[in-house]
Amino acid sequence: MDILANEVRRSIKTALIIMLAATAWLCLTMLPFPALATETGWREIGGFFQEQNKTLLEIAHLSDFVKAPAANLYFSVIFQPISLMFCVFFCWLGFSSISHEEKSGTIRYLYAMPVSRIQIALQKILAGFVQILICFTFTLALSFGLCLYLMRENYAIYEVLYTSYIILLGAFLSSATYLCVGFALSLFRIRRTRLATFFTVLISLACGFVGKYVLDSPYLQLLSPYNYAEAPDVLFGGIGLLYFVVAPGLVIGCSAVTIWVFQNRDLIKKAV
Amino acid sequence: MSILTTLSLTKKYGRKTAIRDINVQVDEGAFFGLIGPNGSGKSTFFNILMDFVRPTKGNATIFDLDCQDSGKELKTQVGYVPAVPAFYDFMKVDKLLEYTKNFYGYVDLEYLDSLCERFQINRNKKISAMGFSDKKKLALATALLHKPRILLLDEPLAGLVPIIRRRFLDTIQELHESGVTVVYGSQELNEAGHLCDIVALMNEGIIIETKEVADKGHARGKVVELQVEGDISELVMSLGAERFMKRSDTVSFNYYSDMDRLIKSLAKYVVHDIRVTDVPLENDLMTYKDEEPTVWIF
Repeated sequence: MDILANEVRRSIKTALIIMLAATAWLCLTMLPFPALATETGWREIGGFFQEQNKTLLEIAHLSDFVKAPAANLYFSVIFQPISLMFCVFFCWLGFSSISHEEKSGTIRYLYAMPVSRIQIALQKILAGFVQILICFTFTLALSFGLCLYLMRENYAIYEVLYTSYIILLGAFLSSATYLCVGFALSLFRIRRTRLATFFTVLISLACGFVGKYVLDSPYLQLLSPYNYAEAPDVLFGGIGLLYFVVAPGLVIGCSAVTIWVFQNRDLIKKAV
Repeated sequence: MSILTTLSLTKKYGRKTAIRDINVQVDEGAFFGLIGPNGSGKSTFFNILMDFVRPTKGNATIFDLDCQDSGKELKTQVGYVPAVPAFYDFMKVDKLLEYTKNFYGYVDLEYLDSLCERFQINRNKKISAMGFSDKKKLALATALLHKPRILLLDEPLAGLVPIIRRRFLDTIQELHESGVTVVYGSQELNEAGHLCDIVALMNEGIIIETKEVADKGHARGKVVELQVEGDISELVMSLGAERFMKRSDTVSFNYYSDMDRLIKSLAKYVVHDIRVTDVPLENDLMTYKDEEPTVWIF
């Protein structure tokens, strides 16, 4: 468990920055939400609620609210950056976890200890999951607490937070997948970690975009966080059951490949 | 009894062969020197023993445990110091020592304190603020804290200042005297030559020669440097001196015979200064392999 704790400690600063950024972003974008549910607000978003002839409390019901095109855009803007930020971060985390040790030479120190290769790889992967859990728990708890405190008189906040959680669950699954994709990618010993991570997520995003708007292929969308970053889609369709198969499948597949290769390959690229 | 054995150990990186058919046997309590220039394959040899890399052919065992299959059990008995030590920059020395300690379970804390004191390791220092020399000291401390039975040292003195080198060597010698087996890789034969029981000379991935240094210095003779008035060349050559050289008023030669006889013979000359040192092992081996001198140019 020492390796796990050390791994978490190693990247906790970056994780903390990501968590605070996500929390700040959530709070800042959530706080103006009740204002949008006022009479002025719904005129601005296309008069949708006027047509529905609803009371203010009913209007605050999010599932109705998101039917408005402007609200759709609003939620996309809120959640897409958070989802993508987490995906890029965890992909980088997975990528750098092993390759960073090999590049910096600390793998010599670590592997000189009485610890097996499988233990090292497993604990590094586990450490990644622990960090995902910490990140999401912290982000959600803090944003929930802040929003609850600042909007305690408003019923709509519960609906907002409930929606946020569903959407963040999608981001959680995406992050876990990207973490393991990052681990698998690190086996290729690509030098520019950040650039490689960024392009991986970018290509995957492009797959989601093409799958959704060009080819109408649900399978392409499954390989991308794109779909899960669009709040209204998730709100109406939920997180597809298939995604609960594909994401863990990728997690298990990539982890297994990482462990197997790590167990059998040279830990030092060249020593002559 | 042999505790380290390698059989036809070969490692290839693509088309480049790093080491080829290395057969080595190291007895318990021995001080084994692995000497060779840069790129001769010493580090690859250590990397295979530590299971950092996997051999292309052959196998290596320590205490009858295969280095590739039983790495975890083996490492409780092995201490390893790399040529370039690297630790986690975000840690403090104290944290790193604790982290290392936890891998072994039980560690003698008094012994750990004594190691830190001996190498003057500042335990509150951050690793990112440590220089190369400090990291080397820390590497030796982490390699020793679990009291290993065998020490694998890959160029342990490279890049160290003389006073630290001395302290390192003293520690290694003490450990060796207490029964620890030492495998010592170096580019410089003289560095620990006087400590070695056996020296294996490596170049281009193969062991060219393995030589026992049982006599450790005595039979290797002495290098005598004299500041003397008059010509003593004929005298010392007649006494069996070798490699006689004269530079202004200083002469030097290798002397393998009776020292008492030499000193008494020099009594009739005016000697201003005299310096007697052990013949470097390199000279000895260069003589030994005179027909292939390029091998020994480090």
